[in-house]
Amino acid sequence: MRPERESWAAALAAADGGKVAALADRIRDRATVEPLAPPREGLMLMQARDSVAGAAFHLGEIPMARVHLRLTAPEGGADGGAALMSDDLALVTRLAVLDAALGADLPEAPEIEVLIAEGLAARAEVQAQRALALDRTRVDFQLLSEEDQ
Amino acid sequence: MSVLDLPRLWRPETHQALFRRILDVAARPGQIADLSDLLDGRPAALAALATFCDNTQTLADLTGGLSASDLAFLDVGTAPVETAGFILASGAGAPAFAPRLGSLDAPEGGATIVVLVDNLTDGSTLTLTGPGIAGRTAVSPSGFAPGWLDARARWCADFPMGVDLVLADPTRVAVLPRTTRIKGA
Repeated sequence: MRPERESWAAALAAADGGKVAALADRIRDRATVEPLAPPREGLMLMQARDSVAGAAFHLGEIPMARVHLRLTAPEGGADGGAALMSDDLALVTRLAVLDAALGADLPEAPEIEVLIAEGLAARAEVQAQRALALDRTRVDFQLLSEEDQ
Repeated sequence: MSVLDLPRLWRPETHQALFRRILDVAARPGQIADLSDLLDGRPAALAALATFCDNTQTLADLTGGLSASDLAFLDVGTAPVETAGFILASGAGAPAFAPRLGSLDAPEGGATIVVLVDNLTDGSTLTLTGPGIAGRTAVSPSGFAPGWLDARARWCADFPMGVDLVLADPTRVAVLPRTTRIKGA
């Protein structure tokens, strides 16, 4: 089953970079790609919200790149886009091409789905490792209080 | 794979060249900047907006002439004319709107109005004096209703608050900052 579209770019960014580049370049070579908005890359302020008062604050600056394009191939076309915490505009352009190609169900769609599955698995593994590391730092304040008594 | 090839008007190097030319004529009211070699057939007013606008600014298009694609490339927010930082308007009729004028402590909040005129050199002569002008100079826009001068006089009466006008014919622009004194023909 195909995952939700908003997860495609993040999954593809976590997949094998060489395979992603090769597939996106192969699709772009046989299709027409036109920008729908100027590609952007730069720093943006990341807003977060504190968990006590719920007040918004700026956590810091993050690199961000964004691409919005239209892909037209002989079999069909679609709009595609990608936005990623990265300063690699070429990578984000490739992700937008793959997003459009999968949205248009081009013949390469099964290959893109395989890469998305690989990327989702890689992300799940990283998240599991982070959860494990976080779990080791967990402190039970109730037990500490009982030890004091 | 390289990044996407943008139409010439939307490339950063084009914006840099446009900015330099518009800045020069903004500093010397009455002088005209010919942008034709940078436009690729697009109107000079759009080129001026491409130079001024980004995603931190707001625009009100009173002409309805900007396409959805133009707005996407301008990457600018839209806003009612009363609150917009930039306004695109036709010079053919007197303005019937109230632009932002800024405030005494933030006069830079006054709107910049890009006014579409037919031609910058074959209309009634306007005599200009003020900062950036040696003595006096003139600009002669056609398709620029006299009501614009009355409205501008009202809007700029409480200097430093006011508006700045950018007159644009199909390929050229001239700037009338709020500091310029204008006498109509």
